[in-house]
Amino acid sequence: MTACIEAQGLRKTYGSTAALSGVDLHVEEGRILGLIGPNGAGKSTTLDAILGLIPYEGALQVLGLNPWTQREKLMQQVAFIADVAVLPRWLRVNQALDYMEGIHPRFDRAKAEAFLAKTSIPPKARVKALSKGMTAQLHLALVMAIDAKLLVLDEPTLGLDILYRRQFYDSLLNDYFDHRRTILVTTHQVEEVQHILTDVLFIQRGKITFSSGMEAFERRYAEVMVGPENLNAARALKPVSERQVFGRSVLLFDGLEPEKAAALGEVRTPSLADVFVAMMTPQGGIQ
Amino acid sequence: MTSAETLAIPSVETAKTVNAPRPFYWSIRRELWEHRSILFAPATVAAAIIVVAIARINYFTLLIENGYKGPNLAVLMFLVAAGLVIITASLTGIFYSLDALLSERRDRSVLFWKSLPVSDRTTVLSKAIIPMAVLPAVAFAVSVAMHILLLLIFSVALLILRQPLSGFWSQLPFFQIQVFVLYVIVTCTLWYAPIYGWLLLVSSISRRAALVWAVVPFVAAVGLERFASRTEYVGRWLQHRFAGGLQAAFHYATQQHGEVGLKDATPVLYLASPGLWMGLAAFAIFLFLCIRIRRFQGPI
Repeated sequence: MTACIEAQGLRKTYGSTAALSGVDLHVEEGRILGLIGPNGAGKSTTLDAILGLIPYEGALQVLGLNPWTQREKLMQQVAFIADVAVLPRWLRVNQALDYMEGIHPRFDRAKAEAFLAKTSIPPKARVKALSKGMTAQLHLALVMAIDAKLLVLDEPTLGLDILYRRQFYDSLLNDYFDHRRTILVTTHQVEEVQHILTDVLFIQRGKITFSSGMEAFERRYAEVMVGPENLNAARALKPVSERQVFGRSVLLFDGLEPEKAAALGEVRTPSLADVFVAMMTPQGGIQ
Repeated sequence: MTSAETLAIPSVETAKTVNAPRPFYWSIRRELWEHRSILFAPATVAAAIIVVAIARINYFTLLIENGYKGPNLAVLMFLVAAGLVIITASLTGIFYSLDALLSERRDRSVLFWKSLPVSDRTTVLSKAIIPMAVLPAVAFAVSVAMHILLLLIFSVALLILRQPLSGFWSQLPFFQIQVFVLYVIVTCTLWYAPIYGWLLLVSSISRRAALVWAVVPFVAAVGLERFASRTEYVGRWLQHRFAGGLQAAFHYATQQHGEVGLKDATPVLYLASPGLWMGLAAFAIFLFLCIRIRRFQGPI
């Protein structure tokens, strides 16, 4: 099976600042990959390179194509949602459907209409008359009707309320994802995507600093609420980070045996956000 | 894999490739959706002319009657009306071109358009064809429709005034006027092609105030030349670019007789003029640059 995305030593500099300093990526077909990183870490630059929106240095193949020189061909099999603001405000809903049907060989109009029928979007409304949530629904309807191999989502739910955000990811998972498609998503709302991801990447200062499947991730990390009596013993086991919750110490461990962890105190599986914060904080957050 | 599965797979593929995509056609439709003034502006001016013709019907019928003796004012009226429509279409084309590759970056929708399988070349060409073919075609169609309506309105007015129609109809060579208007539209559009190309190029580069960027280099060049060498080469070159088209398309020696008509058309001279071909070459270069630049441009 060929990889969906294959990047080696991907570099991009803007003036004298390096946005990407050697990113290596290998994404298999059928994965839902979360690309997570702080502001300015290079998330959007990585996506832009994958989508053929910017030139880059290094080797990059998406679905076996060069995104920069073969964007038109690539986009027959790739769909992209940047954030809710990119649909032009003058566009009418039915015009969007006409246009997509006219230009896209893999667009299924009936599918888009069926999805729109479930929303309260009027078929002749202009985008500027729609709320932010409706615009996102419209964009999702257009994208989900494309029989794409790769779907790229760049902060797709930015500025939406919790109801729309939940609905957005539910639709994506239930009506779209079928284990042949690949989804690549970046977002700051890590908690909301955690349960849908199959793989996770952390990106920091233009480099991939962490990469793992979600199952391995959940097995690997343990968060232990340690009482004062066990604190020194726990600290000796080299936790990734330590923080205080209601006067008690919560220590995050990487690769600690479950029996040892249970002996120290109350164990729970940390969220992606917990591990992300621990890894992004200088010195692992240990005071 | 069972035999049923092997049969099922190709049938799914054929079902999906039924509608062959037509990105160029739909990109032009897209431009018409966004810029409704392409259709509305020339039509509105024509409608206004018809309203004026009806409101001042006595005055115009008087002009037509006087035309039987003196200069042919009916033809002049029809040509001025067509000229107003053509000028409106040209202005629409100028402002359209200045905005065409800028507004999609300003409202970030360029990210949406670029996420679809439409090449930069298709997009730029679909935008260039608006001032080069769509607006001229709209101007001609609107002008013909307006002339037919004016002909009807004046005929009815003359009938009501119990004037003979034969005089009016015989001094108005309707089909020749249409051919003349079409000739003017085609020759002017081809001659002004580099101007539209330049405006598109400016709109693909500038981040704001495209009109200023489009005009300032030439104003500065004229001023600088006048200041530095007290010559007027740039100014004359610009003048040639703006007025040279009609000069090449018509033989102006007959101007002393008062009217320029189809009889004065010099299509061979026009096609042989180097200004036309240099302009079209410049237009092609500008479009090529637009296509290259759009590839690198994102939202601003």
